[in-house]
Amino acid sequence: MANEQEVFFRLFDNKKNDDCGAKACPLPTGAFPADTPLAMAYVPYQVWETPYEADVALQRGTIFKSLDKPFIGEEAVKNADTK
Amino acid sequence: MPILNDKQKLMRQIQNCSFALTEANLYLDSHPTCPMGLEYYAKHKKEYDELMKEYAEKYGPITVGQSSTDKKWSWVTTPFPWERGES
Repeated sequence: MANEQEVFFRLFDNKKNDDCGAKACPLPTGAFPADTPLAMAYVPYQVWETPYEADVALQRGTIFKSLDKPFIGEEAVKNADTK
Repeated sequence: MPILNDKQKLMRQIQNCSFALTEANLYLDSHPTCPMGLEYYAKHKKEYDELMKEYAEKYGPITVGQSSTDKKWSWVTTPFPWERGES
């Protein structure tokens, strides 16, 4: 089984992917390796980080800062048309 | 933040700890060999067990498994944890 390190770098190491065949193609090749199949969803692999203090974590609903995504509605989308 | 008495403070600590454990559990499910995650879980598990033991000794069982069985079944003879104002 590929060890964690290998899996991590294979997913995020995109130096080796060649650029798009047609030079006119403006779309960036993205962060995925060349052999990544299309039409599949990918979730980045979570890496450990210094967790919140336990009492803070209970209020924030997670111990991981990078998962702490409160719904901020209006401010997220400045003057969104919400009629 | 309301002023908590000792019992409520202890319960809050237990809640904090148990939440941290749940989060670590979810993380470890996908990262079973992560040393930091394992250490984090072990640390909080130890703290959680101590807090639970202290709470049970002082205020009565939180789970039925903590109920005392000498002379009386304290699970039903002391107020349940969710009967907040009680004991």
